[in-house]
Amino acid sequence: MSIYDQKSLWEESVSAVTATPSEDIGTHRYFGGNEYIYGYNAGGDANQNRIVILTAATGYSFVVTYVTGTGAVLDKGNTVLGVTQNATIAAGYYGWICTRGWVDVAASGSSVVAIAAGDALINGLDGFVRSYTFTSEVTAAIAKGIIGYAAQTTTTTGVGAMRFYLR
Amino acid sequence: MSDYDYKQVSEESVSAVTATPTVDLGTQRVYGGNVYTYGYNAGIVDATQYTPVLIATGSTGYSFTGYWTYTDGTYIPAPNFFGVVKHATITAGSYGWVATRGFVDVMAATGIPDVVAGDAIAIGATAGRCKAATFTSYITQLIQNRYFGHAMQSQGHTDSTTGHFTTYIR
Repeated sequence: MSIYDQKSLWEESVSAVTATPSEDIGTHRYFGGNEYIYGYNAGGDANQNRIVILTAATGYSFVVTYVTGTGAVLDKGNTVLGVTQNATIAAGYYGWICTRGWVDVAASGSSVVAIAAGDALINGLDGFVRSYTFTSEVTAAIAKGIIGYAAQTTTTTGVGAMRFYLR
Repeated sequence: MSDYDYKQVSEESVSAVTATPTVDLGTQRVYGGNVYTYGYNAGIVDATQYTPVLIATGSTGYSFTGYWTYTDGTYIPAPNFFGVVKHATITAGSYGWVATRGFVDVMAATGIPDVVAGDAIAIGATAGRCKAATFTSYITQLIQNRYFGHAMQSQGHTDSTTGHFTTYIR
């Protein structure tokens, strides 16, 4: 085969979670068709398949829990970094956040409509994803941004992982 | 820190600005948690530090401009956001690295509401300046002039070059 590129060598899995950093914060990496960025959990435990958001201007520190609301809310501070695709990242630990590609994420529980395959998705409460289907949410959707499109259908009470493509 | 991976070796700083290209246009590079794309300032003005740049009109590649005419409340051809000049002024007719993802500092325009941490940030009316994309009346406009990042800090509106604030480009 001709040589058209150079591949990277990694000694750590993208599911690795450590108490001390094994990479520089902000390191980018590609694995299995997905992009990952290395970051620090500055909040509570971030369970697997949750959306995490950036918390500070100083770098790739993230949290999974944040205060927001459903409906026509122009949420503040919901800067999505990505999804804990491979493992739970405990509070105060370092790990790889999937920032692009195919991910599984938990859907919001009650108070939102069911998610249908193809729905535009925005980040919801506490690391869950929810469908952007409400006309009254136009402003919120613009401000927060569509983070991907559902590849599967789930229900309002669905808490299991749901497949979607994170843009 | 232990060596856990094979990193690239670059012979040029991301703040380098040159009259002739040192790498191929469009080359992408990751440094300090940011992604940079190498481009050419095809505009008529220097692209100063902390300013966003747009893909130059009619460009077939990674040529950009730091100058645009834009009036709030009116529709204009979509200003194709390219990235932000993060480290050093890229003079007109020169080549340099533009931050296209990650943490950047930008400046707010005058005459707009203060920027609050978490606000979506879009291209502002004044070339080189930005604004918070939170105005209901701007919704239609913002679909065309889509925001490019979110403010990680609050910032009073000012045209001062010292009034820059950190924005994250996802």
